[in-house]
Amino acid sequence: MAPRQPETKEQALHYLLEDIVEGYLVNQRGIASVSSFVLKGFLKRAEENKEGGLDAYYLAKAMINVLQGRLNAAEAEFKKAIRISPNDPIILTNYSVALRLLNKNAESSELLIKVIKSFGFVDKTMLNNILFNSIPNLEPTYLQEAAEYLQTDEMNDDIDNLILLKKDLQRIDVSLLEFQEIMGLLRPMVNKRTRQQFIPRFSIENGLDKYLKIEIFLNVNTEEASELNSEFFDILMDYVFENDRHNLLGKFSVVLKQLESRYDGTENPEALYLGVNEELVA
Amino acid sequence: MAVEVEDIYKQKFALDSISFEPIESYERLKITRGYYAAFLYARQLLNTDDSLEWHSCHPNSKDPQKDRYGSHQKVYMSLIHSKIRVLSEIGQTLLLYHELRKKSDYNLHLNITPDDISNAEIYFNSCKERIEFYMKNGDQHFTKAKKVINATVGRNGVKTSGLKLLK
Repeated sequence: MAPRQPETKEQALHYLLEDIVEGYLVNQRGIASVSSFVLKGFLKRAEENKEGGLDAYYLAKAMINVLQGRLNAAEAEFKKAIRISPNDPIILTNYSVALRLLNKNAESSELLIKVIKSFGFVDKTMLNNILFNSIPNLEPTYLQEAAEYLQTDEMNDDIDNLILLKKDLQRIDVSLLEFQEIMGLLRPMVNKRTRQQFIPRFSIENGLDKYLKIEIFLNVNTEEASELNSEFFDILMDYVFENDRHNLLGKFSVVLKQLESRYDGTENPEALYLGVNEELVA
Repeated sequence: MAVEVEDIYKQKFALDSISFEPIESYERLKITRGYYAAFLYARQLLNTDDSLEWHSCHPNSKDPQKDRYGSHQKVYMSLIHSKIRVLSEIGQTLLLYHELRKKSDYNLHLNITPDDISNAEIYFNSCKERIEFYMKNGDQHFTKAKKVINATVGRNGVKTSGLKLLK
């Protein structure tokens, strides 16, 4: 397909943002990679068309930093864009994603709720984004607030699951802090390596063995899933041995899988939390 | 006649070299036999290495009877409680492998996925390599490299040895 020819610098920045988002941030497949040539090309296009709008220029620079995994630099660029256009829902929703990547989950959800309430801007992914912000702390408050405001019951199951999972963790002596530690290791790795939406499924084993099972489903193939599993295993072991957190081992079973594996016959495969298995089998 | 752990490994390798229908049953059998080879090898290590300790419950448990580990959990948790990295890696891998084996043996209504098959082989090899590495090298950082440099930090800075051959 021939590259689109923008008629104005404003349009050129708009096309640049589309290229970054559609090419490298949404609907990703496999292990993420972006060449330095592509990044340089994006930066050049942003600089050449700066006069097309400073807000779009800073937004583009923020997104390029996200692609490079330079999240603090991205945050600084987002703030510059927001200073120019404080009420732009596109800038704010993209900023909320960066905040989530920075593990600033509450701030990210507050921003999304502000966008929903103040600007009446509701994108179908926004509730999901608030859900993903809610998972690391098992804190459904923001999700409840957004769902109530939008008068939707489509998140009810997820809200119930978050509450129930938090309660059930006590049955296997997994503290919220331990859960947060594992999420804190897992989510940044998945984001960095795949730039895909982090979609976990939880279940608790409380038979002869006791642990929390975390399955992460990604748009990857078997080899890529193995590579990610091996990488997470090393990250976990390094963390445990560098921080004397041996208690984490044996309490979590974390496996990254391809999307298709979600549908292996499991009842209610889309659920966030499958519940407690208490069968006493060795 | 009694069999050795080695025989269980032979069983798994023999399975690898054949195939039968339905493939799903074949894959489940490989997962099960592979898991038991790894599990029994790890158990043998705990039984034969005097420096390692069995743990029937968490060392900080206030109610050892209530918190008693399951028979398989006891093996992987004893390895984890050793706080020796290569053994903790085996312990954590056995947990994952055990979960897969339970799916394979008991959850007949669930499909064994390509991820499951691939993971089972990775767990099988990882446990075997690490147990053998530990038996030969003790508490060293697991590596497949043949040569390592030992480094110790002392008052006079970091002191390194020459290259040490790991078998």
